[in-house]
Amino acid sequence: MLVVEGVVVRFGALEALAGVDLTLPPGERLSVLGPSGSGKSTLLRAIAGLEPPTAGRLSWDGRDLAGVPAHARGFGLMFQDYVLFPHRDVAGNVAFGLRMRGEPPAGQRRRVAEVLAMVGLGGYERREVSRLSGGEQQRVALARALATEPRLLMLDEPLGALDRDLRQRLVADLGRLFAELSLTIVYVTHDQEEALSMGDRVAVMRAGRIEALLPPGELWRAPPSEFVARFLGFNNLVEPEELPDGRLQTPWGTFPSAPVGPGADPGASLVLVRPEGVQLSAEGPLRGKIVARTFRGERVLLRVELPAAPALEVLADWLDAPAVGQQVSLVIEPSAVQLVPVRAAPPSAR
Amino acid sequence: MLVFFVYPVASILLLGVAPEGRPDLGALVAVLSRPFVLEVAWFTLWQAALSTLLTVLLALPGAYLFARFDFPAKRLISALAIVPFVLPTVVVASAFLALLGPRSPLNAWLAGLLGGESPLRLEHTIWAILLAHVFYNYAIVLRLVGGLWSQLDPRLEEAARMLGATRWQAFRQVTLPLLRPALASAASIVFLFTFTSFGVILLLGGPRFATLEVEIYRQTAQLLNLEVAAALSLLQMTALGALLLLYSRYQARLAVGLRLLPARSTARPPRSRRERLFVAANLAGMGILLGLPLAVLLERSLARPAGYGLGNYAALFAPERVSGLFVPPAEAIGNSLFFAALACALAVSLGLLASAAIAYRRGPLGHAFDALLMLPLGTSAVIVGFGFLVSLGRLPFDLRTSPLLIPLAHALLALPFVVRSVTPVMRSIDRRLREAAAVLGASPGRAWREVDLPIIGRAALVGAGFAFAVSLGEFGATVFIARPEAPTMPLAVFRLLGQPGELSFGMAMAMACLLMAVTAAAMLLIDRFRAGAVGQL
Repeated sequence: MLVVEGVVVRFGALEALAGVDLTLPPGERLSVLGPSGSGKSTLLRAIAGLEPPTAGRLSWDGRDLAGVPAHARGFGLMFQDYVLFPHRDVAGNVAFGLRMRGEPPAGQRRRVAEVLAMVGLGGYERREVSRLSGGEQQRVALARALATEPRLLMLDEPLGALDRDLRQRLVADLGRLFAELSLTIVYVTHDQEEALSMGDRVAVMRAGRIEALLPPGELWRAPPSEFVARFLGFNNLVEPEELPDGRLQTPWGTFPSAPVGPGADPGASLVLVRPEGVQLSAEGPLRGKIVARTFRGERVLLRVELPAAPALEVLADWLDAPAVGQQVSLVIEPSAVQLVPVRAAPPSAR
Repeated sequence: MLVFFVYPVASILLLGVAPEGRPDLGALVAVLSRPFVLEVAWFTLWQAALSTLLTVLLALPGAYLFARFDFPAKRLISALAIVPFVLPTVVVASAFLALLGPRSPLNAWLAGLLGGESPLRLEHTIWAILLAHVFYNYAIVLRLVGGLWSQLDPRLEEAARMLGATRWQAFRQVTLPLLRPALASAASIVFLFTFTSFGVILLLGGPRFATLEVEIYRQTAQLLNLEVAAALSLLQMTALGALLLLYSRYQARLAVGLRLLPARSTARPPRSRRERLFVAANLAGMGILLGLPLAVLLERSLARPAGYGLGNYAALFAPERVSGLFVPPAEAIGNSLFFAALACALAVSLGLLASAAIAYRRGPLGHAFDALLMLPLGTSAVIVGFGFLVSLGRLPFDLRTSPLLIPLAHALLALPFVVRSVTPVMRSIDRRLREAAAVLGASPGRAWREVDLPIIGRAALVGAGFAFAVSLGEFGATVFIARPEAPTMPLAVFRLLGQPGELSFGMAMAMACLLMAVTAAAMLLIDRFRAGAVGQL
């Protein structure tokens, strides 16, 4: 079990990690999500032993990791853009960790073949790594990290450099592979879809801190802060006024008091209208013009500009969604309204 | 480094500033204000400027050709085009002597065609010198400018065309400014080389032309006028120092943030007839400029009074002495190989240490050391040789008669090449490669052995090849310090050319061809290793 307590990493004046607490039980898959510069990669490097923490403590099964150098931790790290050894072929890359452990050559060969087959690159042993496509390089890097069966596997934006189609296929492949091997995983990404599909829990990072740490379903259902909500793609957020009878008045209408996220202060919350709960209708209290249509798989996200209120985003069915420029009426279902705290609750309250 | 570079150079300084043991700047000024010194300095300057201009103009179409077009045997031709650059000066001078001199087959042919006497008698004219300089330095422009050009996004020029620029405007407004860093470096390097040109001018220029380098040699070897030579060396060093300073200033200002593409993606086969014609004409021009002199050199080496044959080569290996040389010529070959091997070993071991010091130690100390190591490149071989000559007699152990002296001088001159091959590779090794090794269980020492060593090893081999080639072809320093009974191959060529008679000439040609072959073999070896090396180009 990995325990991270109050870890700070400072580069000169810059605080890349500003106090991170995290507990990772064996077999868990943790996604770390955040915009670039939020400290995701630094967190990985600190856990790997490549970046000594300025303050705080890292431990594994109760043993302090402070004096343990990177090569003795037994963790695997798959680097962003892979960092394959250019002077070795595929097998040379994959066998590297085994060789470091003093595995005999026959064992190395067997394991290399096994892992390469696992990632779908059977027979690639003698290929030059520089001649491989991006997707193939990604899988060699994965095989290299898997070959030694690390007790903790960390992946830094493993699919970041690949095109969308390949990325979606690999997310599924990786998920299946990780489940089969029941590995403990830290998966860093800036893509919310990837984070939500890969993790048992998702940590959302912001400016060197973990702002939220929740299972993906809960995170999606009740974003614990405005930052998280916006990062997940929710833009229908507005500051409400609380009426004496407890109802909430907003430019989009007046709603009955809504449930508040755990531990948050209702006085400092925003109203979130989930786009799937806004209906297009012939008659409605809100009339506006469609200014943008964005493809979302089965559905389409419409941005509707309103004359006297902030624009609303509406998730509609692909087939009967009106075109850009058309006037529409909107009805907001009461169940689509919820409160999101402006700031996340402090860790103690979670 | 201190003993073998700084001390000799300081000795020259001392000799120049204080010829009679006490400081006497008046004497220095008196020497430098003699009209012949000004003449020599002026000639050095304008021939270098003109050579540079000609080289850049002639090589630009070639650079464009290699940057933008694919054609059959492109890699081979590109490799061949660099051959002249690595040839020893003596070989180049011999080749042009063969081409433009009285025994030129070209001249004989032209004379037969036009009647009259050899119309192309260009030896001992400025044209011979300029042509040889272009021949020599063509590859620099081709590689540096063509290299950057091939990585420029062709869509930049297309974007300009779409905005209404003509082909020429697009080139002038977009491509040329983007190429400026490479053009500036190439021109500076060509200027530097031609400014310090020694062998070419000594052999091709005849008595009429002399650069500072040649004059230093004449004052020392022929007139025994060490004070004048020292004063000239001072002038030369000052000029070179100023040039290098200017260059580094300019270079720093030129850096443009460019998104470079892999060269492979920017070239395509010629499509229209015009393009095919351009490619063909360009290749033919290159063939004449670069191939003809060497072809004639080879032809002359095979020519005997009685017809073609290997007689010249046989004469080289005959056991008897030849006039002008004190030993059988074959011994020069042995000497050269022996010296080159020693110099190579010395330069590589020193170079690896120096590179490690530069690459792993950032900050002002590393920079200062880097600059110090580049100095031999800037001072020119003649000055190193001259410095050895005037200074090393005063050391407690007299090195002037030691067989180690020549390898030492050569190693010193080759050191910058080794450092330049190894340091960038050492620096470019991605820190994360070592980290990846660490995460996979390699201790820091093991990670260095597994990651850095194999990558650096190749670069070191490349450096070794350069050192070997530099030593083989070195002429400027060797001519000062070699003992008459232990000549090297370039020296043997020089001495043989100095003798009258067709036999000596043929033997000189043959020796030059052998030297060319050995150098080419060394360079081929380099290229093989370089092709595999990573993180460098």
